[in-house]
Amino acid sequence: MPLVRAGLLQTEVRPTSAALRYGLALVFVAGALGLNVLPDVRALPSLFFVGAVALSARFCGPGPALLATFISAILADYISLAPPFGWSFTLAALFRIFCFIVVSFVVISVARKRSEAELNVEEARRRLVEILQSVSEGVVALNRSWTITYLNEPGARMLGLSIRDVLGKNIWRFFPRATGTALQEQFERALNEHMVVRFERYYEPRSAWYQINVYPGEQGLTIFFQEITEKKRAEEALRKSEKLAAAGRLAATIAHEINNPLEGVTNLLFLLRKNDSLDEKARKHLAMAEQELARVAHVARQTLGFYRDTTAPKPLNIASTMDEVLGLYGRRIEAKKLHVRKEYGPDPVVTALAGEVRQVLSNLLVNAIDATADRGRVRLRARFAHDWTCGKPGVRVTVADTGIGISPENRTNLFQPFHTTKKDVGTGLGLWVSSEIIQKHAGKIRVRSSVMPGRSGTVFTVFLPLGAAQPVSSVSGVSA
Amino acid sequence: MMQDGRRKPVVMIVDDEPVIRETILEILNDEGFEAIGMSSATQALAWVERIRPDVILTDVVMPGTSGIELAASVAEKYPECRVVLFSGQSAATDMVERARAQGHDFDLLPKPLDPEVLLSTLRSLARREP
Repeated sequence: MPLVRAGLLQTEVRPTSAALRYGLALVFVAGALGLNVLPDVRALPSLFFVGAVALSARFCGPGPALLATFISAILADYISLAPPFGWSFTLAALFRIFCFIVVSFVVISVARKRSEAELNVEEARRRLVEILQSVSEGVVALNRSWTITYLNEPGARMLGLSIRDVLGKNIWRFFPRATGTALQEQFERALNEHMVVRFERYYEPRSAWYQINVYPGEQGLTIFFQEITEKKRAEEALRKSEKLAAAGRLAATIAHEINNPLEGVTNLLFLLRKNDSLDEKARKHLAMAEQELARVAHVARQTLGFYRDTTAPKPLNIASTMDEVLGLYGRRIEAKKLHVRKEYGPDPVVTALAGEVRQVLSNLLVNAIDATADRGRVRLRARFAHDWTCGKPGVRVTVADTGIGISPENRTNLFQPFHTTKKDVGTGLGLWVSSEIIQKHAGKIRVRSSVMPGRSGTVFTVFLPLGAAQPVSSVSGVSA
Repeated sequence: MMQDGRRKPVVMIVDDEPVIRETILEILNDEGFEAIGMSSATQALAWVERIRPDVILTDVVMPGTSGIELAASVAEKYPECRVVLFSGQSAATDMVERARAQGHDFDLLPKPLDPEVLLSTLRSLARREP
């Protein structure tokens, strides 16, 4: 079983306690002594004791090795040298003991040098681990068989994992959902092509974005990663605000260029209407021109105006407002032969900013008309109700259609700016503006939709509390 | 100075767009007003002392002096004169809000404006006492 220390997978064992090291040295000497008493191997007495000293020097350090040397020398004299099991102080015996000690010292010296080198390596490794633990980035080491050999504390925290759980595990078995993804592709690229790979990746279980830098090495890969969710959010917000600013500038410019000629044409048609010389046919044509111009003026104001409703909130009958909006789109409804069913309850009245609520209803109705095929159905409902979450009284408005429906992936971003499914005609701002207006009125909007053939359709439900409009202006206008 | 049966209410139209200015002039003159057109706020300021209009209808965003500056100046010097702003630009809304924050209270009508709405607004202002 590999040892886990400081997030590192370790395969070597060395006792750290002095008692243990000295004890182990004595065990080695006892082993050599045991071998010496075996009749068949007694011919090699010094060899076993030198072995015991070498093992002590290797695994227990110089101190225990010296102890092993002296005990071995005494035992060798008593047991191995003639007479056996008796002390011998002849010159030859003393010379042999001396040689044994010299050889042992040489062995200890070599072992000590190696031990010092190992200590240095160990120290360097410890220092390295310390550094890796103190960095703010997550660090993972993988060997060439994709086994996780190191994970630092910050990395474990970032991923919400326990170091012990992941060390020694194959990364693809531990994260099966990552197999076959761009992540695996990038890791393999770094390992196989021996190149540094940098990329960003969304990790769904933590709902977070990470910057991942993969460095290849002889042993495998070292991966540095850092959570960048906030940075991504800030970038996204900046992108959105830049888009909004650009759209605002564009809208202001176009509004100016369109509204002035519209004003001129409106006035000219008005003057023409006052002309008594026009015959009946000309007057009919003039009325049609005025009606069409009113539509253009309305669309221009709603889509390009970004106008602010600076009036104060006032009691507003949602049913009447819905009818007004319906009137604006009468021709389109007629052209598509849509069947519109109205279900209004008694007095669906809320205190709200009329222009803005009209804008919401207008956006929802336009979307329903656009989404529905010829001869489809649109149902409009407005009635007194309670908030589906907190029970607050208000009016619930439903705009339902039997259109093509909204796919689940489009539903996610439905209320985001510049999200549109109407490729040629949509600005992608209608539902976003609508949700902003509803929020300002302390209301709620939700959508249910099905794209199932034969049963497709969308239902937008808006709840407006009885009187929660804030008497402040805010951006309005724009249709989807 | 207001409509008293002896003379028509005098309305000064200030807009740098000739078509808008001329068509409104024609509409107002046909509908019982004495309308005078000015192509800039500077020109209007120069003439307002002599003409003493009952109402000034001015565009907001114009080259040089803005309609807001004109309105503020008129409100200070000739408080009996009503000023109505009209604009097709969203920037005008911000400008009017800033003016309101400074204590001015101007009405802002959006362009394009239904002439019937314009006429009823001007009639109602012309009837009002200072």
